[in-house]
Amino acid sequence: MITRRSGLNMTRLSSRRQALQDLGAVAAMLGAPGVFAQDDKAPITILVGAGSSVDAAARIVADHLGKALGRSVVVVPKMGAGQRLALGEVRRARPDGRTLGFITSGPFAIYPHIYTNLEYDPVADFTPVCGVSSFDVGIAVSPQTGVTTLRQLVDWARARGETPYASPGNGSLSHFVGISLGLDTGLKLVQVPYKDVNYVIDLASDRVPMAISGVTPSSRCTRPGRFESSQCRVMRARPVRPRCRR
Amino acid sequence: LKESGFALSAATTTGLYGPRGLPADFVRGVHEAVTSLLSNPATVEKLAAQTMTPRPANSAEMAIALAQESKHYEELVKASGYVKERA
Repeated sequence: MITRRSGLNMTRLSSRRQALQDLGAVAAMLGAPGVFAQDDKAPITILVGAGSSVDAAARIVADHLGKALGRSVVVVPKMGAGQRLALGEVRRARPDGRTLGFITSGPFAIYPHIYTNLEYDPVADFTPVCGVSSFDVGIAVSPQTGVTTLRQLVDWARARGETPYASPGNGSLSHFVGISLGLDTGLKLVQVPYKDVNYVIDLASDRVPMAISGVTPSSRCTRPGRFESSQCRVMRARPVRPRCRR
Repeated sequence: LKESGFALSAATTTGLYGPRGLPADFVRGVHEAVTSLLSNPATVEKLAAQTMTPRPANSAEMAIALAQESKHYEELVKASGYVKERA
């Protein structure tokens, strides 16, 4: 490239030809983005569209990835629309290895089936890079229900009839666990979407008898001075639903 | 949630995704780095503190898992009469 550049000082015609060749060389370089991305030491941005443990896990990965690749890796929260904002930025980014998203499987596996006008194609628009972790959804019940196992919960809800349950929102994995449980058991479970973890308070005071939520640190009953740990009886998900602790 | 004969799918995965057309060698490099991270006991502990379990997978494995998961939810949406909404 450098030697070719000297050609730019030659006659008009040959310099034009040379310039075209230079352009061709640049295009060839860009056309081999593998080499380009491998040698790139620019920072990598990891967009995250969920808080709590998802954000924390993204940071654990970012720390290590930065060291392993010799590049700085920055986690940028982009909350909103059930991770779709973060995903939109990933989709629009150049595929140069400088922009990634740390995303749960829901926007790829669930959203296509529950939205009529999803703005992305979950398969065609993205490159899966690597799997990182899994986490569970657990069922928690208010102490007033007196149930401690899923079987007891099913019997209790059957006797009660229509049973509301708190969830983090429409189309969430938790919502679908409720739907799935209802289909499996014939129970009439009615979702009550919550935007925040305040369902924990409503659960403890029996304003809602049951909650289904991702098992994250924030879903533990950890508000000091508010609850006795025994007030939240928690169903076990796999591998182990964390105990309520203070 | 595997208890009392119920077979609910109640876990979800996290992972790194990029835009379409991400160079294969970059994807491989990130996968290798993250996979070695996930076998480190200190990392496993850190993830456990976030109630997460390591779940390494390469690009192809992720695509297969997502396709299976997607099918599961497609069926669940149909069976439950879930009313689709505008995004």
